[in-house]
Amino acid sequence: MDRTDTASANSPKLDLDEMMERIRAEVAERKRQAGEASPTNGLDVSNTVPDVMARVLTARELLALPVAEFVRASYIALLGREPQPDEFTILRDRLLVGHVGRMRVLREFRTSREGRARGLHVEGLTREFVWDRICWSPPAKFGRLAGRVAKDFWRLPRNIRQFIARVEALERRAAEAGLAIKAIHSNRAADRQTAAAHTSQVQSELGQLRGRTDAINRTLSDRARAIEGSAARTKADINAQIAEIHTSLIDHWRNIVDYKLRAEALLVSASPESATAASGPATARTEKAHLLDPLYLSFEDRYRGTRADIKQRQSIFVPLVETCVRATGEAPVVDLGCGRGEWLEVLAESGIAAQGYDMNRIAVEECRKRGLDARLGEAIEALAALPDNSCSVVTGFHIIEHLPFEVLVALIDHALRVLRPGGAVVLETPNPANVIVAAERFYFDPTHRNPLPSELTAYLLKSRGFGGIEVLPLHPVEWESRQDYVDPMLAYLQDKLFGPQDYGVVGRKGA
Amino acid sequence: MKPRVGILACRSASGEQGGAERFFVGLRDALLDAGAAAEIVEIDSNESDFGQIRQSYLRFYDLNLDEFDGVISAKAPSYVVRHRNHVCYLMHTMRVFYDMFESTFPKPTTEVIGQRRLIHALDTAALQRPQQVFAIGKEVVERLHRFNGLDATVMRHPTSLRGLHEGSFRYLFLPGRLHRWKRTDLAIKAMRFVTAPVELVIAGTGEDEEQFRRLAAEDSRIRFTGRVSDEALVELYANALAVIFTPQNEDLGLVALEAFQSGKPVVTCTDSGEPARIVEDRRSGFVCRPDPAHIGACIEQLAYGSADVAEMGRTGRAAIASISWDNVATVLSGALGFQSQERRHAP
Repeated sequence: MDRTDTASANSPKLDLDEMMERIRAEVAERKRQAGEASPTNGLDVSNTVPDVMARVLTARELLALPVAEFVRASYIALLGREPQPDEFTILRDRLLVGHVGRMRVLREFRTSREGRARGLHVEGLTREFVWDRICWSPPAKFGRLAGRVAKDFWRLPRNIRQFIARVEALERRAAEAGLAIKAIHSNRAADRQTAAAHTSQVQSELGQLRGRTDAINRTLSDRARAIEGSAARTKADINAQIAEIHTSLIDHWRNIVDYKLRAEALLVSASPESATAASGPATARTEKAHLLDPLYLSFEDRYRGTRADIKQRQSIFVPLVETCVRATGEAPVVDLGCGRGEWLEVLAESGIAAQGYDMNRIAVEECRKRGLDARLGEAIEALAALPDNSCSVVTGFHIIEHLPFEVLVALIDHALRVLRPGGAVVLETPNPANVIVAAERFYFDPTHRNPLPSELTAYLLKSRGFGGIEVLPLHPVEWESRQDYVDPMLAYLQDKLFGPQDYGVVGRKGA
Repeated sequence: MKPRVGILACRSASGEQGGAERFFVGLRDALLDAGAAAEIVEIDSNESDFGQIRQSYLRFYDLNLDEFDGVISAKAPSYVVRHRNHVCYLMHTMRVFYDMFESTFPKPTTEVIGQRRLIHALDTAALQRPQQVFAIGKEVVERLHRFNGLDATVMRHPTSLRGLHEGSFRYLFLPGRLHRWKRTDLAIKAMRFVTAPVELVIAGTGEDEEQFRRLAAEDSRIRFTGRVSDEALVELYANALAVIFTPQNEDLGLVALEAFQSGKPVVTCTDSGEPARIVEDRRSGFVCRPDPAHIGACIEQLAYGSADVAEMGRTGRAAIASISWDNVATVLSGALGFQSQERRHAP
């Protein structure tokens, strides 16, 4: 239990009991002072100071009493009686607020008439009066003042020392704060750097990811394109093969028809009735003329264009035909060289009665199979066989370039004859104003004779008696680089090379 | 015949109820369990001014406790009591005259310096008288050594809050008196560095509550519950993600013990005193610099799950397993010279 030697150096070694007793005294003193300061404490006089009555006090004891007791004891000691309640209250309050001092109260009591009459002795009071006078004499006052000044004067260096010490303490604290702030700043900077490093790492990782995503996207789209391409190629291949098969089917069919027709012709010539007419050589000549029929149709299939294309191109003449049909009282249309019957079909779809003639047996068979009125016969012979004023329109698509000149003129003459007034002849033929047509395309058909300039055809119709002649440039080349050239030479060349490849001529028979 | 033991408690003039009151109840129950007829002797203690402090010292000094076979004192100034069989289980001396002196009196007058000298002398003399002096934590022992040149034995006691258990892990929890020494503001400021959508629940009241509420007004994640019942407090502990406890020079830090008992990690500061000794950095929580940014960074780790909160809580619980009222009662009975063989309950 011996810890006394370790006791703190900065506190004096004091006994606890001694210290506590000192505290007890201090607390009691405080309480006494508090009682003096509090007016309420003074009222209960008899209880708080019973010994005031017990014996006569000395002057020194009297002055040391709390204020309420002092008032009572003074009355008793100097006037020999208890104070009246109002006397007590007034004097206590005056003392409390400092209106009067205790010495003055005692002096007044002693010198009052009542006091002098009682003549009570208080031990040491005269000595107190003398001492009080000395204390309040001018020299004593000066002495006190001087004493206070001197005390303050001697304190001055200590105050300065304290001031300096405080300034130094403040400086130390400021320096510490500065260091702390620096430390915080460096921590912040480190944190920021770490954060920046993290951010850049994350960014670079993001960049890599983005790159990888892009690569994957590229690969995917490449593959998709490849698949699309091969699918398109496959589709095109299949379509081409189907077209090929279709063509060869048609060819086979035509050959079969050809053999059938020839076999029928041979059977007829071998029969007993026809044998007498000595028609053998004639039949043989006719058959020889039809030998190339399948070839020509196949050729047309390949170079003239598809059935839908041709029908669409020819349909521009439908309004003209309808006008003529109405003007001629519903007379039929005659189509010379009807071929595969596209035009006959256009007319049938428009509800116009028409008959076609063609010298190709297989073509005629095909037309008939489609339910069209097609007849086997040369154009000029068929026309010659028709009665006067029996037709509304005579049409000839791509036939006149196959005819010798005198046959062409005869055809025009017969057309004029068979048409009713208000009727019209329509002839379509390759346009040699297009130099590509004139120099190359015209010769694709080995049965063509001469290119016919539109002026020539128009002139023929007019000179043989047709009126209202009209030339219609048709089917310009579909060329995607076509432009509206300002340069006249370029514009002229563009027209010569890529202009209309066909033209139609219309001639009308007057009333 | 059971020995009568008086536990000297200080009744605060302000009527403030806190950890100290729980401590006395816990100590009494433990001594009762250990077979002593223990009772709490409550005496007024007023620290509102130095005059009152002097009177408080005198009141305990004059106390006549002869009827008791033994006396246990804990708080200043109860240890000045005069008794033939006296053991001190020191909670704390008057801290304004010790470690908190500089912060309380930045410009001390000679009068206050004199007062401090007196208190140091009184405490030094008084704490040499008991049979033995124990202290609730290392912080208290070190302070006693530094200021009074006295030695004492460390003996931690657990919380007397009952029913602490582990629930879910949802929010940050900060319980306790709202006082600047508890530095609640540090946790509030730390939230500015937290990006996670985690709530900070602050339970309790205190003299600096208004100031803390103002400070937290801008952050909708911070919630004040005000005073809560013991049952509510236990539940708040149970469902916390972690407990934030960043006081300055805390003597015992029951909050840390309660958190560990609830299986929660604790975030505390290097200068927090006892909690910084109880919490093992990065094992059962975090011991941060008293810097909002650093605390915020630790909270981020907890909130984003880069630290295993459940594992940290388990580590904490294991670390405080040896702290029990049982042990406290046995040691104190022994120091008073009583055998604690009569047990009311099985341990």
